[in-house]
Amino acid sequence: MWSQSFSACGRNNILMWYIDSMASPRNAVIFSRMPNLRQQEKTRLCLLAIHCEICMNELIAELKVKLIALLDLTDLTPETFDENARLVGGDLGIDSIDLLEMVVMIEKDYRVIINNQEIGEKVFHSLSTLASYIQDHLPREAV
Amino acid sequence: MTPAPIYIAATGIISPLGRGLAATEQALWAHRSAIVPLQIFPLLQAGPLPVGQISDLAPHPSLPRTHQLAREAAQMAMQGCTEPPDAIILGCTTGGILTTEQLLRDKSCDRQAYGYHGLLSVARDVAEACGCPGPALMLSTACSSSAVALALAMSLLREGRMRRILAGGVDSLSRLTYFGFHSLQLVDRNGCRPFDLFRQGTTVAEGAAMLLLTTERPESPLAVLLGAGLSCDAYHPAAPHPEGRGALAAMQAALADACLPPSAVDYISLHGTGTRDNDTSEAKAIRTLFPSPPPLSSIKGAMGHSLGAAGAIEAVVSGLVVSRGFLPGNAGCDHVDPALGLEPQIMPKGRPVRTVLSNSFGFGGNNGALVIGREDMLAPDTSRPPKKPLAIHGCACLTGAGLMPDTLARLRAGGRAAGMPAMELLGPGLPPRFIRRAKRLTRLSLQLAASITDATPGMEKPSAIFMGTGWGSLTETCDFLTKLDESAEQFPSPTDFVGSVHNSPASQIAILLGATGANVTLSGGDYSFEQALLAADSLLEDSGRSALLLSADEGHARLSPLLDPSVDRNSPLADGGGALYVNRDRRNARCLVRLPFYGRGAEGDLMERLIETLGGPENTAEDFAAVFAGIPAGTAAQGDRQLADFRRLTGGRIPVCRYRDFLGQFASASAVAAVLAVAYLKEGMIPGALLDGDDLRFEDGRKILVLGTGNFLTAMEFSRP
Repeated sequence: MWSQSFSACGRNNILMWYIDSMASPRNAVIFSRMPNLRQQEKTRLCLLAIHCEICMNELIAELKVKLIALLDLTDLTPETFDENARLVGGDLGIDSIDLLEMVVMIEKDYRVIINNQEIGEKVFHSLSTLASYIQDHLPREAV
Repeated sequence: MTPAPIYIAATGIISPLGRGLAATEQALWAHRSAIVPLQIFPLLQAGPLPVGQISDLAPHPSLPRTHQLAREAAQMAMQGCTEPPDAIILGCTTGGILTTEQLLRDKSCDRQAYGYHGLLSVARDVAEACGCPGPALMLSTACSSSAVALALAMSLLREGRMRRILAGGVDSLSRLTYFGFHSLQLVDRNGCRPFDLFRQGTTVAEGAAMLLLTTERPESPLAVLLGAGLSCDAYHPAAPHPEGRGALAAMQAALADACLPPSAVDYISLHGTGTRDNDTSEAKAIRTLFPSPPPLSSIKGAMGHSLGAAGAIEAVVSGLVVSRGFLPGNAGCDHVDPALGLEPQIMPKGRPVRTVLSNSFGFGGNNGALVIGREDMLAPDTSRPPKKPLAIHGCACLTGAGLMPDTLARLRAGGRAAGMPAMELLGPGLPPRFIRRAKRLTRLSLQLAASITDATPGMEKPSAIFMGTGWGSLTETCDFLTKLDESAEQFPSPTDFVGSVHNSPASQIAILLGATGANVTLSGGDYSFEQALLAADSLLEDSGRSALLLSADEGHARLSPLLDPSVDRNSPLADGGGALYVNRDRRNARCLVRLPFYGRGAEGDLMERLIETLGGPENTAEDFAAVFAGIPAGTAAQGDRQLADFRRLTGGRIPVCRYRDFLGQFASASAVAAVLAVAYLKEGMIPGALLDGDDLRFEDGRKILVLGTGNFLTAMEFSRP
């Protein structure tokens, strides 16, 4: 869907998104498949994508440890914590109070603010959606 | 028993809208909002949130704001009355916390300064100011606290043992509630807009209201308290049941209690906090109960949500609505949320009102609804059949020695059971995900509930919970304030806030047991168990329904020595609690319990009166095999004197066990003493180690007295059925 909408974009727009992708490196892999990119640009985007993947995995591992401690999920280990499982309202027994506890932790530890219930519901769908949101919204100096 | 209408003889009210009935009525007619940015305490971060505050309350050198508000409202209600009330029954959530917050921040170790922290201190202060000789009870069921206080007052008056009760509620703004509600994202930055499409939460406020309730008709009563209903969602620690299940049950119970059909309600005073969830579930419950709902509105858009005081404030306003004949507007609501399916009364309007249904719902799904109306709406016969005594069918306790069998074994062996039960003992049989958020007091309470279930195999699960706790969840309170301070007021914990409310353990028990009946938490210091017993005896229906009656307290390394005057900072802490399964069915019961005496003050003829209620000195000496005397170390001199009085008046013949010597100093120790009394009555023997003598064997007909001493004097009587 992304690539479809961007293939219709002009070169200037692509460059704009390229610059944006520096702040949201996860998108780099999508942009690297854009037509009309110079080889140098493609390479940089691919490197960015690899970097992003590593960061993402690190972030997921870090979040697993943090959430287990924060929410006292004593019957889970980082290994058994499925990052794609439903986080809030699912089998883990995580509810709206836990969600707000995570909001506080994410603001405190990552400086990412989630203060809207609608956004919150999407962000906290699973641990991986949470990690993606954090990575996309990290303050620029932290990237 | 005589049918007893409950008159609202006089009132006192202080809210952000003003002081007294006239000012309140005027402000409601003016349809103005008193919600303004917080001013009463400084903030470390910019941008104060809107609150409802009493801006002209002069600071007092030692008295916390809550106590000041309570005193002033009580004074207003009692003005011109020469006769003191028989009891004080208040609802409150935070007591002197605003003062405590500052003391903790300043790292103060001045124990005297913390003397007004406890919830009971508010009721006691009012009792002293009014010269009330009877019990001073403190209900703490979060935002329904004072509605539940009024329900209990009403029930006690109907029993006929009391004639006049000063009941109400109070809460002051504090960092705990200000930041707590904010951490739950339940505060509307624009001020609360109940039932509005764009509502984003509530506005925390402060205030107090007191109602002098009498069974004798005063010259010009404001209105009559017609009925009350209590329920519990047993659903979630903070969020209401999405379909309004508990709200519906409370409203139905209140109308049934008043013997009125829904069609007799002329106006509903909504809980209407302005949070998305409350307004949605309350609206659903109302639509279920009322095919065509009467006019309704929430006054919280005008004055904010004064938490523990809200139920009493709204009861006074309901009385005003009935006596003056008008409908208050629903300030703050500009675009009615069509999804709610109700049309609140937006602007104030004159109109005769015969009956008001006033809703109050609290955290933990602790709900209370009141019916207030004109005298001519009184059912022809409101008398209730006499109550049978409470029958105990099972018991459990937790002490430093462990669960009940270990506690009994330790005491029999001549040891002490004082100490703190290990955390591993608390909740091994409970689902790990259910208890993962539970800190010490909730774990103690859940373990007691689980032990009671084990002790009563084949019996229905209790549907009502009556819980006492002297100090509430100290760990959560301390953790919340610590995180708040450490993060310069940026990152308070929502989990700790929800856990810090006094009724959090009881509402967790309700979820565990699916207990949807009354869920009542009382915080009566060293008399918390006695208060819970008094409430259970009055509010448990005679229909064979059963209740869990318990009291528990946690020892907290930092807070207990500061707050509890009985805790010696150089001795190891003790905590735990006791629980009883009670109903009205004496068949197969282990024993019966009653609370024949609850009085205030150490001087005068208090002990004579106590012994009189037990049947006089001779009968007392005959009937009781032993006395378990509770002498809190903080009031030891007084307690020793009271015990000496008791011994003198009864001829010194009854063996005495000073149970805190064996159980340690904690507020709920009397609950453990109660459990011991039940256990020893069944055995017909009390270990000699407890009585400083030989094992005491006694025949079946004799009873055990559990005496409470100190600022109050209480007597609990345990007998074989």
